[in-house]
Order: sequence, then C-alpha cells, then structure tokens
Amino acid sequence: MGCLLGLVLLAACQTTRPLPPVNLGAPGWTLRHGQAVWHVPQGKTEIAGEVLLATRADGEAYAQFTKAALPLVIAQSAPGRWEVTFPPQNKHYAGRGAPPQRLLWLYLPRAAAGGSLPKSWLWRSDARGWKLENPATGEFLEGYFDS
Amino acid sequence: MKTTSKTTPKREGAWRPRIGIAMLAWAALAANAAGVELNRAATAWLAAQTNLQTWSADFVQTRTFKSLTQPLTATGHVWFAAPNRFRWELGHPAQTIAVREADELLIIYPRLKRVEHFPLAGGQAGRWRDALALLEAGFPRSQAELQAQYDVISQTVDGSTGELTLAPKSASARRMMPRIQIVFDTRDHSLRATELHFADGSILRNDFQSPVLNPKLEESLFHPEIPADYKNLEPLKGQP
Repeated sequence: MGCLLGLVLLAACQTTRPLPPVNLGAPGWTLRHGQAVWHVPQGKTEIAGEVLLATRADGEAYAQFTKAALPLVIAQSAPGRWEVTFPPQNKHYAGRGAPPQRLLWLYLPRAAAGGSLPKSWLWRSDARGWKLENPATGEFLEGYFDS
Repeated sequence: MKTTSKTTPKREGAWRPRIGIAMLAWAALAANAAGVELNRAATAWLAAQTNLQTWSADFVQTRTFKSLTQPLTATGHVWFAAPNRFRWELGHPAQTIAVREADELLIIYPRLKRVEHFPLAGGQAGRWRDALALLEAGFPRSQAELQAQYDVISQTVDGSTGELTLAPKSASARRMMPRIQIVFDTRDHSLRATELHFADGSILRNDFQSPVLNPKLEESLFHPEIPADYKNLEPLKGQP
C-alpha cells in the first residue's frame, strides 16, 4: 500500500471545513453494495474489498472501500466540494471544485451515474460488473454491485 | 452496580520524543496501563478460555464512521479453534471469508474469484500484518498471552457484563487501531462482543449470538480448498 502514499502529492488539496456527516437513511439516497478490486496507480499492487456507493440526485455522493471491515478509503463529495480519507495512512484530503484526477474513488459515483469523466478515462458497466480506469496511470477499480 | 478499576502505574513507559504529541499522550496512557492487575471477573474469564478448544457463533457487525450519522450493519458467522485458527464469513452467503492459517491470513472473495494472502510472519507484512492479526481479538488463551499483546487500559464490571479495554503493544498496530474492547459474560464466561476502535475514529463492533462452545469443526474450515480458477495474490509482496 506504499503506493497510496504517493497520493499525498495532491496539488489540489486545500484546508477546508469538513463536509458534514452523511445520513444515508435520509430520503433521496441510493445505496449500492458490492465488492471491487483496486489496482493502484503506477504499480502492480491490487487489493480487493467491499464497496459501498451512495448517491443523490443533487450531486452528493459517498463511497467507501473496506477490507474485511477495515476501512481503506472513504470518499465524499457535494456539489463543488470533495474530501477523501485513507484511514490506514491516517491521511485526509479535501478541496473545492473538481476532484483531482489522482483520486479515482471520487469519480466512481459520477461514473456509475453515467456522468462525464476526464478525457481518456474508461468506464464500462454490464451484467457482470463495472470497471473505471484511468489509462494514463494504470489505476482502475473493477467490481460489481449486488443487484 | 458498575465498578471501574483504574489502572495502577507500576513502571515508567518508554518515551519517544520524535513521534509527536498525540503519540506521546497515548504513550503516557499505555505506560499507566502497563502491568495492571486484572480484576476477578477478567481473570476468571481468561482462566475459562483454557477450556475453550473450539467455538462458533453468529455475529452482527456494526461499523460506525465519523462520516456517517448512522452505523452500517452486516451479519456473518465465525469459527475459532485453539490456539489461533479462525474463520470469519461476512454475509449470507459469504461474500468475504477471512481464514487464519498457521503463517498467513487468507482473505477470500468468492464472487471476485480472488484470494489474498497476508503473511503473518517475516518482515514483509508490516503494520498490515499487525492490524489483520487483530481479527483474533477476543480469543486470548491466557492472561499471559493477553498481556503479551495488549496493555490493559481499563476494566469494568456491570452486572453480568465484564469489559476489558486494551491497547495493542505493537506500535504499528496501535497506530491503526489504538483501542480494543472485549465484552464478556461474567457468569458463563462467554464472549459477547469485541469493539475495535480505529485511529480515524471509526468503530467496528461484533456482537456474538448463538455461540456454541467446543463444537466439532472440520479441519477444512481452516484450510479452505481454493478453486483452480481463483486468482491468488499477495498484496503486501514488495511492500516495505
């Protein structure tokens, strides 16, 4: 997971007020549970885990990647704001505007909703599962959601 | 009636000035806890563990996150065989299976057709080894074993419920998981719950239900046969 530490080199990170905790029980949230493989950028490391993806029509989104219940990534976004936490590294990043392209997890809600992605990024989704990939770095997420 | 025993300082802890204020504060707590004498309920619970050869139970897993206003829950089943084998299955049918073998932890994802191998020995594993090994929390074989792995931070008894709050001695495990609580029944000495507190403030609690003491368990539970079409991976390979 050392590659994750490379994510600290995020140019867009700013000090911002944390997004409020999400109430996934509130009306309007669509929750999807599944599993995925995360192939980290610039390397061969892959790690599998459980995915929770929650989205709202107003653009709010919440994605969580855990391994055997240990949280690895928590990505949260609201219109114009984003933040991501890597608990194993005790790292937290937040910013305004479009998320950095090095934070693939923040783009999963948009991809799953059929939204626009950075140029050259790949997204496929079919009955077998889905895959989000940034070919420039080799990073990808590949998994499925329970039907 | 709830009784709480404060830990009694018995020796000075080792201070490491370079690790920052937060870690220093934690080190102070740990130093205070080191060498604490366990209360009668905890001692009796630990003594009873020597009679436990195998164990299985259903569990309700509750995860609490700072980023969510409400916890997430899941269910599963766990099997344990002394001295240190376990198998956790999360979901029905199992979507994630964690099996501790003699020298590695396997995490199996049947739907992804993938098995990840995490060595539990050698220098490769680092803090992941420590953290994943904490899945064993709740199954100490003796007081000596428990106190070899953990500092006792506090211990309480409330009616028939005993509670031990522990801190991993391993610095790397502690960085990820600074605190663990074990909840047990003071009457029959059964394990009721474990609660793992992570450094980011999230909490993972397993409440055990329908426990069975010393069931006959097939050895294959702890040596799962991996189908030929599964991908075997070692995520930690090459990691510092």
